[in-house]
Amino acid sequence: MRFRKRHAELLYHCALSELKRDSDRAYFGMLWWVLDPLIYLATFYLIFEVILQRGGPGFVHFLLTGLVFWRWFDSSVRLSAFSIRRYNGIISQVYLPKMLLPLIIVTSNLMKFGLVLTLFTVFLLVSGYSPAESWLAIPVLLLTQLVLVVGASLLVAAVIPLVPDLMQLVNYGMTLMFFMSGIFFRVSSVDEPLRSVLYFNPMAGMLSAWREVLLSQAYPAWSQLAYVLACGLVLGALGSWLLNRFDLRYPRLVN
Amino acid sequence: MTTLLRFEGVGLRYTNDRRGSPWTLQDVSFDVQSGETLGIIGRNGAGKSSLLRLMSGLIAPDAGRIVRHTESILLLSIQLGFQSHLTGRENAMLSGILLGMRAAEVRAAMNDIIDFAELGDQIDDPVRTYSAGMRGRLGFAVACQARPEVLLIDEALSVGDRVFREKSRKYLLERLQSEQTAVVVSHDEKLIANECNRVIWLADGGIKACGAPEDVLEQYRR
Repeated sequence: MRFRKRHAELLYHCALSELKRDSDRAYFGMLWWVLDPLIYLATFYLIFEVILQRGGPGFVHFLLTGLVFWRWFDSSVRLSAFSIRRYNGIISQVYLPKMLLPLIIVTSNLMKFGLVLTLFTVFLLVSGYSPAESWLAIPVLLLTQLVLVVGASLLVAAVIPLVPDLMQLVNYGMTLMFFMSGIFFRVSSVDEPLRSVLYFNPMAGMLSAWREVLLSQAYPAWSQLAYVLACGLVLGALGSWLLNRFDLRYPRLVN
Repeated sequence: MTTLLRFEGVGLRYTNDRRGSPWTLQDVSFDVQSGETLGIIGRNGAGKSSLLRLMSGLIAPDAGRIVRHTESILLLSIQLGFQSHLTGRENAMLSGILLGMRAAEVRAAMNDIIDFAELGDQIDDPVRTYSAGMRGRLGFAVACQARPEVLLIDEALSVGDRVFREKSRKYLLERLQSEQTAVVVSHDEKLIANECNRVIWLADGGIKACGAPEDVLEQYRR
């Protein structure tokens, strides 16, 4: 792969362009960055808290923490699947390292998530959660999930153009993961051996860690985090290997 | 004169193409010398654009090999990466970086770009408010700033009104007559005859003739 300093500049300017595209498209513009996740969260709140009356004390925070961090993973991976096709017009005219394309999507998504995370933190503070010592672990958790997000995005971006039919599988896989990551229930209170099976999914451990740190004022299970990190690294290594291997093949595939 | 690029028995095939021979290009060998202008002629579908894509390193050949002595080979593309929601200035930056420039270089050239494109203050308006002509002028002005070692040009790049077409044509001819190494694909026989040092005639995915422009053009016309 021919990766140059200018590619970092390209990453920045393309990600910025993606963000501006969002804000330009609709009448409400940038407001949608906030409205969209807000409506998403409100829908689940309505279903679980108001209609089903599930949960009990603290369930809203439990649910929202799961959803906020799940959504970051979910939207990055789904958008990355089409990242090479999205830049089809450009890669058929100039050479770009294809790895750059999912990274553009992940970067612009990261900026949007940053805004959501800020608002969510304000929500936690306003609703009575005070910063604890455990919050010092937040950067570690952010970095760990970022590695997982990047890894999964690279792999999906590499594979989908090669075998477009797999997109169905990715869609089902993401839905399955959504229900099995413990967004609505506590994975730690599930009986063995099912619990270990559920923790095989790195997002289950990731979401538990976020709740420990943000809500329970405790440090996360470091071994679980290490597993998430390892998953991210393996997926990322596989994805970048494929992207490099077929670097000059993609412009011929997506036409 | 040094060789910047050499094709050795290069072949390109599209496997999903079941009509006739799957080979778009077969056993193509030639080289590009520094400072020369190489012309490529041929009917539609002869493989000219595929040849340019191989030269610029977008795709890899399925047979033979391509030896590069430079990495700075650019297919001149107008309005590359243009986004209608961005301003002219933002698009110039994006397009410039895509064409191989550094952000600082594009910034330094910005006034020249605006002047050449004749955009004035409108450079800070979103491109979706531009006419097709304005868009083309900006695209051309940015592309002009790219300084690759080997410049690949596909067909006549005519944009804008008559006056701007004249201006851009004059600029391109100046580039071709300078030390710039260039490969030009064109149906314009006059341009090929006047500007090229050598011409390759491509037919049915192979080289039919190669040599001085007048000789090759004479065979081509027959």
